[in-house]
Amino acid sequence: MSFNDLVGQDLAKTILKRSLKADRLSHAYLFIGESGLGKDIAAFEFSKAINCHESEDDSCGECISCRKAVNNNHPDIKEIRPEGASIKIDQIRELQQEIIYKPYESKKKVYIIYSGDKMNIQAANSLLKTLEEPPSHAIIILLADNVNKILPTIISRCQLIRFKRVSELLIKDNIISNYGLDEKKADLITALSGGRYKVALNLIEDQELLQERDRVLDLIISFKGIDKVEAFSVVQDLLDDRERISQILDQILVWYRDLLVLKLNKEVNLVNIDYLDQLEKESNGWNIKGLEDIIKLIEETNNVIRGINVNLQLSLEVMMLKLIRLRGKNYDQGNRGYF
Amino acid sequence: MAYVSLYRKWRPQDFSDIAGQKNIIKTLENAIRMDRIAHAYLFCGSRGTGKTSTAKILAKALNCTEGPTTLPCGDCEPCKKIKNNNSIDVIEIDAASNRGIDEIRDLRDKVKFAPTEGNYKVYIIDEVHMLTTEAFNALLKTLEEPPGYVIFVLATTEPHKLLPTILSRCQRFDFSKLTIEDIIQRLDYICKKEGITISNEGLKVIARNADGGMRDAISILDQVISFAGENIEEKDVSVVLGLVDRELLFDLTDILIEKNIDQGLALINNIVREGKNATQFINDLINHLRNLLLIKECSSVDKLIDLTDDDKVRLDKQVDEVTSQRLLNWVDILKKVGYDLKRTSQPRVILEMGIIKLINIDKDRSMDSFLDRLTQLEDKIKEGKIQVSDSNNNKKVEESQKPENDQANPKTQLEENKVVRIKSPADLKLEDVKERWEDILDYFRQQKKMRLQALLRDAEPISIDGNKLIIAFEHEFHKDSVQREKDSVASVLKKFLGVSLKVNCIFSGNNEDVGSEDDILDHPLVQEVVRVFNGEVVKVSSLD
Repeated sequence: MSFNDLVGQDLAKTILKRSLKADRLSHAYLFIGESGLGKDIAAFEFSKAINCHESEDDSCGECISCRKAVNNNHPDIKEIRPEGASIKIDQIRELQQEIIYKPYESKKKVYIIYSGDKMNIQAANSLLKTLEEPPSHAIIILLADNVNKILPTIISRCQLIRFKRVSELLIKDNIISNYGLDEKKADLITALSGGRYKVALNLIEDQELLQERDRVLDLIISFKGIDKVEAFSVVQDLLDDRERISQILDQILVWYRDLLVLKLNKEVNLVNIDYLDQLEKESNGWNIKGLEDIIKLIEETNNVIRGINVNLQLSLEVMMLKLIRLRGKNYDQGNRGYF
Repeated sequence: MAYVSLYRKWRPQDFSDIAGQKNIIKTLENAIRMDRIAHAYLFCGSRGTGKTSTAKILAKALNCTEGPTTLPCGDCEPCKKIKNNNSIDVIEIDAASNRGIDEIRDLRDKVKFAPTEGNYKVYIIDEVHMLTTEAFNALLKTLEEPPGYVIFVLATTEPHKLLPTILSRCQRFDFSKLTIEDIIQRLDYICKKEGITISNEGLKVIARNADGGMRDAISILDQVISFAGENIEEKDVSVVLGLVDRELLFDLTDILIEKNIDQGLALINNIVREGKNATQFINDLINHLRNLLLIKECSSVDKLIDLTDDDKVRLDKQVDEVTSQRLLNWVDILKKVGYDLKRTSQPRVILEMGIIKLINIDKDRSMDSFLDRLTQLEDKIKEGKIQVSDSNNNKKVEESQKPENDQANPKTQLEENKVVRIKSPADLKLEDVKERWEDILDYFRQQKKMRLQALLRDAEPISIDGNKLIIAFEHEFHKDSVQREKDSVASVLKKFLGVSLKVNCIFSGNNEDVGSEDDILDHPLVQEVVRVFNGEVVKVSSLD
């Protein structure tokens, strides 16, 4: 195990390695990037490398410190995760009490805060002073999916490390060589992953995910001839997957995005490449304006569901009804254009 | 000594060290000189503007063995202790972690003990906006009249969260965001002391991206040093910040001008794949368009635009290709994209939609794009480029415009012609009205006539009788409300359909039973009335 396990992310790796080598470790890091880009792996490897006895700018995986870390019983690497929906102020207070004690056996004491964007307001504010001037033996690593959900006062105290989407070629090569997939399947999984290596891995390892996706796509395709009554039953279907609703909406969003891209006659960069036939069929009937409106609609619904405490069923029903109306207005109207 | 982050290492140590904030420093210095030190200060302002640092310097100035002085020596015992955060007389409280009433009670109890080594006991309460309401209220009396040796300094980024009673008891200082020059100056100073060489351009990029926060700026510098070592070029900074090359902005603007969706999407794809900072990219693009706009509109812009000569030449070239109205519209769209980006989990889709919007602005139906197209048309008329051909033919488009609008224009023309053609109400069919109904409702909404829109939403046009449009409502009350405003409805109808129609509202309750006498007689309500009053129905007639 070492930084090499992280696929892509050259910039992040370079910055971290160079600061290890030059002994310029900051006391606070903020890893930013969508989920599935390998922030957690990077944070873990980084914390190992900081305390590794052997290697200067990486973790050796052999020394006692690295082995302890791999077995999850390193006394000086602490992890903080959301308790329930958010990270609470008490968790941060606990961190503040613990952090003043010297590390047991290593040079540095490393705190990794997963889902830093899930800290509630009180927790985030209470972290500020500690984050600015922790004891010299402490390093805090914050991980977050969305930089806009982090207080500007927190960002300004940390070294910001950005994680990028990995190039599709790299993902494809990696999954082919590691899992021996055939070309076609590798292409599909690469497209679906959208540059997020972990998503690709999940898709390979968990067969059900692909089936699940087919199910959702079938549902989306069935939107075609749907009427208002059926819309409510679709919502019931969706409600069965309450926990995954955000991903499902993303899937619907991506579907319409594909339609839009196809409508503009660009076959490049489609995500659902295995559904090309259906996509082509459907995109003929649409006009651009309608697709744009639908994408906006789904995006708004998703924001509402994620951001605010709303009645899930109601917002989904409203979305479906609006979707039907938009379809009625914009689908298969020949060349009605934008009016 | 172990490595310490630059922003901690180079924390300002006396008043002259603080970048910007000239007025605040002057006020504080004068207060010390004239021995008019207030007992409670409130420092507010955005992150990295020097609130906590100023508070600490103030504490030093007051407690220095030579003090109170405007020039704390930094060498005496109290000064050193304050610098290392272990003075007993300067108490720094993290109000965000200790936010309850109990902590404030504790503070109140301790306030009465005199300072042990210095002249003053200074309480620095940082992040004070996080105190609970109870805690704030418990603090009020102490804050108003503390013992003579106690000074409170409250620091916060969010002064609007404080109680008015707290605000009125403090001298308030608003720390402003630092200017780019201030930041560059300070960064330059730090670089020299640290033995780092960095190009002027690089400093500028850092300063611009720090958004007025000195700590942000020094953090970025620190990171760039970690990345690039002791010699730093502009491109190192861009790489670390995930900035989009300026070249790309020029390219994208060209693409927008040429309306090349292919290349536009490819470019967005590149940006997403490279993991560039999407929000920053949108801001950069807006800034680029702003530069174009300034060049277009102003005679001398050298002071307003801060670019190399090469870039200026390129800007000049691009300027000729666009109108200012169009630039303004682009900026409007980009502003919306920037806002959406902050909330989305799918930045790529939002960016793609944005670029499609920018390019397809002609096919958009919003007010902005109409204005845009109108100005383009006006310009063309001014230049006399328009050739009107046979009007039976749907082609009024002049040659040069055809290729770019090939998809939308015939349709537009069709629609427009339809409006013009229908002159007498007799030509108008119910289908035409129904077809435009959604648009008409949308129009009401845009006109901020929400009520009318909502009322009409559950109504439907059911027939056209001569020059009357009959609209059926499901609720009597809705019918009456619209009836009162039928003139404004009629005027909108005229706008959309090109015909003057009178509006007649009827109450349908249920669409089927309109008109049929038997249905009305069979209605349970009617029967109930007949039963209760023990009467009979003499006549059925319409209210209208």
